[in-house]
Amino acid sequence: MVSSKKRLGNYRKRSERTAFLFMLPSLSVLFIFVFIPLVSSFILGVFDVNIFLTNFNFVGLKHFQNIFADERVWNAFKNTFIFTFAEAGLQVSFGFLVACLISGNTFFQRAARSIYFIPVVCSMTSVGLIGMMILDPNIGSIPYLIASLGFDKPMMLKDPKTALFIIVLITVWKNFGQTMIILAAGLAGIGRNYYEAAQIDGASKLQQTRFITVPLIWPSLSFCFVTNLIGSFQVFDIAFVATKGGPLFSTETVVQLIYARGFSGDMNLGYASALAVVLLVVIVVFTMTLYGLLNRQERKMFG
Amino acid sequence: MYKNMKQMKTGTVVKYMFLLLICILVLFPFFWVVISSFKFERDIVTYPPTVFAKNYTLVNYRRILDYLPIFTYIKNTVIFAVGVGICNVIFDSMTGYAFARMNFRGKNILFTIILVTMMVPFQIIMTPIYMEVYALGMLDTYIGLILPKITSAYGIYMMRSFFTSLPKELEEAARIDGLSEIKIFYKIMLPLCRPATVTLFVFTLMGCWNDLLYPMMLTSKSEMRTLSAGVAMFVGQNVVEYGPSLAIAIVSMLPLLILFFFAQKYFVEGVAVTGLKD
Repeated sequence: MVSSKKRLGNYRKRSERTAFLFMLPSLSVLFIFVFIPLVSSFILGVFDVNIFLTNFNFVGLKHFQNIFADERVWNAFKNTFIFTFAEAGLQVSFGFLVACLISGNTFFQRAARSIYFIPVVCSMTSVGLIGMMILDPNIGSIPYLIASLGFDKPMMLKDPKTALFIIVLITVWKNFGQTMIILAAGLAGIGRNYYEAAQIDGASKLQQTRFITVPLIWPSLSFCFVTNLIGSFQVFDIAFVATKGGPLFSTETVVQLIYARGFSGDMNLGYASALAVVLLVVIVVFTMTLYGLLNRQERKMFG
Repeated sequence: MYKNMKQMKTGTVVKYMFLLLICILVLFPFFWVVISSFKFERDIVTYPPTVFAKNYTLVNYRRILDYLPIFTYIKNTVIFAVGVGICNVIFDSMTGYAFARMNFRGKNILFTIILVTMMVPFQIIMTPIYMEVYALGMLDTYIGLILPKITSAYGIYMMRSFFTSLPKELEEAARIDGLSEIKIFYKIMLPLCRPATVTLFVFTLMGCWNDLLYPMMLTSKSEMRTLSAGVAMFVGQNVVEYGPSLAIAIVSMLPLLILFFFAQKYFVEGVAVTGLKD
């Protein structure tokens, strides 16, 4: 009895050691190249300091007070939230729909899978450049096409009312293939026998999706949504390339504002770091709440 | 029965029409870019816009070779992206496996911390990273470019998700047969995750290929520049002209697209054969 308990304890200790051995390379790199830089950034947030790290001046919480008084900050957060929820919601639901439709193995479905993935391969810089030209009201073919159908010619990225939404659409256009591939991999892992059994029981296609597909690929679905949300909160490239935050700050996001304040213009690295800390807190609170909810669901399903 | 068949057929037609429509939406911009890159500048900037022009030219492409050491850029990018991709597959699957399948103290809190690191915008940590790589004397070297990126929270999270959804019976059977944890991992669990590892490799490769700020920050010598950074510098100097910018955009995307069309066989196959069907 005693010896079996001891053996169990040994086994536990050994398995803990194996686990840490497995994680050692990743954990040390994350510690050195993410964690330490992050803490250094926090420290920079209470100083007045420029990008060249000269003139350190301790200013306490001054930057944080300025941030909450700055209307441009509130505007940037508003844009970021709109972008994030519109983008993540659209991309996951559209990606899921398409993944369901292309999960078969006909020639056309295989071809479609590859074609939809092409934009994912391209860089946001090139996509932004291409989008800018195609959507340009003066030389672009899409506004011209819409105008020749009898509508008012849309100003697209040049109109403060629509610019943010167009940015969302460009991002979904570029990225939905990624969500599609992850979900398609999950779908392929579902045994065909589940569907056969459901068909015998007379379940409709919609019921099969609702009661077999969704629960079984839940881990992949929640993975896609959470990572999309996190990625969208940090949106930078596309708005930077295609609109530079304009027109009238209608597409200026938080990371762009951080970049504008810290790495160009007045190069106030302290202010930028403080704003970065605020953004990080917002992202963590939102994602963790969501992750908790999704994870509880996952545990319910997988025990 | 007949009615049912007919309904099914209509459904299939609608489905394929929908998929075809998305294909057109995805492909049209590329089609336009490729054609426009062979046009003279005055034909690109016309109103009303046209897809085709009367005359075509190679001048946009010829100018790339005059201005950019594009082959050096491609070589650097391949070393950087492939190196990071291989390292990520190894280290992320090891860590993801530990989180999915092993029990140890502080597991949840550790995983939460890793998730949090994923939420850190790169712009926040880039200055300290630069200072660290500088202190290690690794600026303008391949190792300096690769080392900070050999693992990613995204990859760990992704691999954990895939390992979690594999059935537990498999490894239990192997454990009863007396296999060590490490052998269980690379003989049984890892092969089952081949689709996931290929996916992770391709994602990481693409991420590095298209990354702009990171390689731009860590390289200053022209012969160490990667494609995206080098191209961005060029486009930045020539914003007014659309033709050469389009040609360069195409050349910078082309190697990755070619690679994708080869890897896609693995990709599509991998997606179709996820090891555990029943």
